[in-house]
Amino acid sequence: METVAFYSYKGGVGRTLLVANTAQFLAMSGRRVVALDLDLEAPGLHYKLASPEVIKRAETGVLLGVVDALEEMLEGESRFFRMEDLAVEIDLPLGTKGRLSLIAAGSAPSPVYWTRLERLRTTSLGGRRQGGLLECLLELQAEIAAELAPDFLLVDSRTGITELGGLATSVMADRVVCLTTTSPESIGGTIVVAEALRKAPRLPSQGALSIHFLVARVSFEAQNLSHLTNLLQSTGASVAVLPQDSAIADRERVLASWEPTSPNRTEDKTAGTQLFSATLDWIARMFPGQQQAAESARRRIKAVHEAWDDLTRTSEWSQGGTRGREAWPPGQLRRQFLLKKAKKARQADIVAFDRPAEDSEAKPLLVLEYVEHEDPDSVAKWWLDELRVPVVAILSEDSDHRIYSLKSRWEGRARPTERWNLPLPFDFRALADPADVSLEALLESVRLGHGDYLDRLVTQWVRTSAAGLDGGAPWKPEVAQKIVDAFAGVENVELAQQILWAASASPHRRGMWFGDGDDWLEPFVREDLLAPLIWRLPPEVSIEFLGERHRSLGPTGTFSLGLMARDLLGLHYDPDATFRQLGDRLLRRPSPSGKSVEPDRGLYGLTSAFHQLRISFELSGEPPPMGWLSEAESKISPNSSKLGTVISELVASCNLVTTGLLGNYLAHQGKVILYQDAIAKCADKLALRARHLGSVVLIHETIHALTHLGRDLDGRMWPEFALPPSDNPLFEPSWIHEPLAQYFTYQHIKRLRDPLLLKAFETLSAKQAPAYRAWRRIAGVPMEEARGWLMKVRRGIGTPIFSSLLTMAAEDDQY
Amino acid sequence: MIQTPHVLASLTEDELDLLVSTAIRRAEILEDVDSGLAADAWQETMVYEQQLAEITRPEELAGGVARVGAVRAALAAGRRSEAARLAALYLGETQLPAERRAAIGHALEEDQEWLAKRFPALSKSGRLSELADWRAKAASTERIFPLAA
Repeated sequence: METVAFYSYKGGVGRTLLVANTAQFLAMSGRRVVALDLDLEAPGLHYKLASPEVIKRAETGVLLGVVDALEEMLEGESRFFRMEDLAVEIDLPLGTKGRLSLIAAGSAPSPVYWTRLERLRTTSLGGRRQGGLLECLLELQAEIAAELAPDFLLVDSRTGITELGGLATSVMADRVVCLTTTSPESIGGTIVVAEALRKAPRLPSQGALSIHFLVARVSFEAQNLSHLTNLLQSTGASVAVLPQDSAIADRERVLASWEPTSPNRTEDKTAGTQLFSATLDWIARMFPGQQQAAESARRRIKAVHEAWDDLTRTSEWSQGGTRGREAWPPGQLRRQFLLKKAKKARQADIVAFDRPAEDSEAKPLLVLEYVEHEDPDSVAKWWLDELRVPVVAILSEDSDHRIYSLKSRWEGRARPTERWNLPLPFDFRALADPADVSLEALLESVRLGHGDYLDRLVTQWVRTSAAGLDGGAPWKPEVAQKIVDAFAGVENVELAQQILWAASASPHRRGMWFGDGDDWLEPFVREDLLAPLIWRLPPEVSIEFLGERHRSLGPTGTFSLGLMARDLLGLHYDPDATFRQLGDRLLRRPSPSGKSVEPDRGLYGLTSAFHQLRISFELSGEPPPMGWLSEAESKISPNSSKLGTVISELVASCNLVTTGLLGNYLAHQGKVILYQDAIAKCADKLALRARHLGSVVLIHETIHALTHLGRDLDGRMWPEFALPPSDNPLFEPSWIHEPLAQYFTYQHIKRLRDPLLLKAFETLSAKQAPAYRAWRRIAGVPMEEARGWLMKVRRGIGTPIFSSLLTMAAEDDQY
Repeated sequence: MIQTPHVLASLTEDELDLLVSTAIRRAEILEDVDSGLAADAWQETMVYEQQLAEITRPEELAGGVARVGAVRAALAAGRRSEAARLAALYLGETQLPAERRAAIGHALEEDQEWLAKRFPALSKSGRLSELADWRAKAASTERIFPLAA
């Protein structure tokens, strides 16, 4: 048995962690190892190595350890504790030839422990006939050698200068690993201790003490590292270095430990990789031999470590920074967990449960096992058949992940699914089969109301629709359309908002576009995905985005309205133009005194002009004005309970209108209003969904707004081309405005390729007043011609063809 | 109460005899009641016996008894380094009668046997017998880690 003591002059350098990692690695390499915690004043080795059940025993004061054994040896005549009472076996992966036992300090941190420790301190002071600490420690060491026969006894020694620390290093140990950081006090103290150890007497049967320095937490910026290593080497000892791990600040990264990870970890996947590899390299150099087993252990530890990281990381790096990610709560995970069914058992490297693991009702959802020299399909089949675990992940030495699920078995055989990454909690929530991340499965989750895959689906849309723009991925327009249609079909307002957010996020925020330099995709996504979705999703959401209530999204509303104005009407929507024109004129104007006007004073007065020319949106719960109803009809008081009656009569008489009943455009305010109650009642009468009818009304009224406020190519606006106010008792549907608005509404809905919106529009139109039906006469007219008519009527210029078509429409209607 | 050295040096043989007897009785009583103070009482005994050995010749009856007594008291106090040192010192005196030599050797063996029963694994490993030598070296080496006797 070789005894290796790990010592540090100062605490917090990672000594206990290193002992745990070394013990675990050596055991997984096929060695027999005992880890002994002699840091009695601040014990922690059981937290690193033992199971939660053992930790619970410690916390409740029933875990026996070093303190109990030493006290008994110093005090009593007879011994009660045997080695099997003290040594706790640590579970290792099945099939591992090695063995790992832990002898903890005792039941720390329970109050019982501290009482016993104090008694031990008092008892061990001064001489005792029964023997002192020296005899007791060496007796413990001899018993370990005789009864457990380990290849290695790894001792976690006490920091600083103590009798116990001195005995553990100078007498018990064959080798001492002195951990230090680069701080001057740590280095100075460590050198003094090492020199003292070198001079300390040894037992005649022992060889010379071998001392090794390990400098931990070394950052790349360490300026004086070579000076420090030279200083340490001058003592004759070997020196090795472990790099800094930024994640240490949040939690301790352990190769294999029960210690829960912090849920707020925000490092990226590469952080800690260097420390992980450096630690394994150092252990392999310090404890050479059994090369094959050590390599196998290293591969296993690395694969399981990376998997644990994947499962628990709460953020991931993407271009431009990190973004949040839902991960498995550490309390729902267990490592090296034995799962049993009848007489059969198998050990998983990681198990994810559906609730905290200590809950007696907890069921395993995901089992992960690292497999070498076994057929992965057979191992997966065992888990699926015997334990009925929903998802099994098999890791293998070539860093391959194979994901299997209960639902994807074929003729009783387990076969790996297409999924390559480890499922997270939302996969079990949102997907019928957590291992199935096909497009259909993700779209189904959206239909069921889950928003977990929106980013992924938007990226998929980009890949399948952008190939024509040199995107590189195969062009699949039918797939892209399927995604848009699934998004547009969402009823839930909150989910619809998430969809627009996902579609409007910049590539850097999502980090899932094609790669570097793909900013050019952003306008493409906005025009072909976001803008159409704004019109197809429930109007409550559309109004929110068009009204730009989310400043973090930037001028999304202005962009979408500008797109509609440009592509549909041939106009510019530029709410800032008046502000700029007036401001420019003001800046050029000379003051009466001949000096130029101070810009600040003049421009301040323009802000009211700036705000007046931006289209605003409102979803109103109030009844529509309906001032245009005839005197007879107006006797029906225009409150909500009578609204339904009015609508029924208008439907029956084919005199429904949009403006003034279902929605409105207030030209003097630049405001588009939708009347929710009227829309709901009308939809009910027409056997339509209220959301589809609402979207049609929104498009119609927005077109009114744009034809009023849009600017032509010369930058001119024609404010006289405003809709007459609908609350005027003399109001009648305009035979100029409404046919044009209906025509362009039809064109816009056709471009959206939404059959449900089209059906809503046509159903509504069929029951509307003649002015609203007249568009059919001009339905086949090319858009350029219709735009030309719009330009002319805005300017008050006659349009003979347009006028005659409308006259014909009116005559059709009469008959 | 342990006398300070200059006072100790001024005590006569008779006075020391009395102090030794009292100290031994006190130590035995404290041992009987399992008191933690027993070791201190034996240490006091060791000091008086050492002083008696200092002022008597090894071939004298009192000198021989004091020498054996000092080693036994050191062992009883758990001060094995000191016991080893004293044993080495006294066994180096050529005038010490054979039976006293045997008594010192027997005390050390008895102590080792007693320890071997308490620390069987350590004894079996062969290291128990190395500890006295180690203690003697540690006592004379400059060290930074404290070491109880």
